[in-house]
Amino acid sequence: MLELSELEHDALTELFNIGMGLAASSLSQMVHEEIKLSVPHIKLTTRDMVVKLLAEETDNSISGIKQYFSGSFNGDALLLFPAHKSMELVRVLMGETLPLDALTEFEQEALSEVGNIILNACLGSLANSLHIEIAYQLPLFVQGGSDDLLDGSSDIILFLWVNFTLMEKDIKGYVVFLLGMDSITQLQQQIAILLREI
Amino acid sequence: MVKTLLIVDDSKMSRMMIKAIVKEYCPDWNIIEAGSGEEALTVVEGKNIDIMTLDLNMPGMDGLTLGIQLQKQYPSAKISLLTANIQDSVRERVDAAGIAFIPKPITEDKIAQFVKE
Repeated sequence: MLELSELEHDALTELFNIGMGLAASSLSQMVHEEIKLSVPHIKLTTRDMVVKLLAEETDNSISGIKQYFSGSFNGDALLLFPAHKSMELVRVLMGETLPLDALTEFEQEALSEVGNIILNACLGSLANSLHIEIAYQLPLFVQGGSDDLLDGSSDIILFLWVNFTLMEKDIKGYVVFLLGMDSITQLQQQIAILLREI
Repeated sequence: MVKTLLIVDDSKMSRMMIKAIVKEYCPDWNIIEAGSGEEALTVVEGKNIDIMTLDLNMPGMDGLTLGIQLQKQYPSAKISLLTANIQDSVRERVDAAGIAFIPKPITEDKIAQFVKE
């Protein structure tokens, strides 16, 4: 099985970290509170393991945004929340005064916007660091269990994962990037170029 | 003047990048590296440190806690938090501690400006 060297792993973690820092800054401005970021996790693993991990973290009821990206490498970027927390985030974004039925109406729209900002910040930062261009499709609102969300993903996945918390509201979310085998090889080549330039 | 720089970052790539830039501008400087806050406290023992670049988001002790601790130990040292976490609230806490703030990504301009100041 393809493996990442220690330095490739380190470089990818750092690039992801920089992207998430930018994303958290944008989100923080939207919700007017500090976002706490975890250290990013990167793992070359099986689809089944990712399904299991996300199910455990979210009680397997997830709302989120999925965005396909393409360029030097292709994959899916996901912004995920436990379903019961996503509505709280929408409440924070849209204001506390809106009635619940109005909030429900806005859930898809509000999460799409948050997803767009966060995922683009992450991917854009990664693209800038690697001096490549990444194109994104429109964000899709997704709901369901982790198995449904990862439908169509390849069996072996590069799983990049960071969790973030809106500190005052105790809302935890996850940003996940999924890359298949071909894209992992492409990404490794881009990282090798970056490391050679140091 | 020969100075000693401490680089603390859990990313080896980041340490490599900072080191490469500093070596270019200040080739005679001594450089000490650590991959965590805890390791940093060990490697600085008995040494004079003039300049420090500290990452914020690391496993274990965070860079700001480390910076405040090292400030007491090295009151005349120039300390900078080098971080991807560019939220205003973080920047304010770093400012309040009297520590410089350098947003990642690491670039030659940012590092060169900090070390030459």
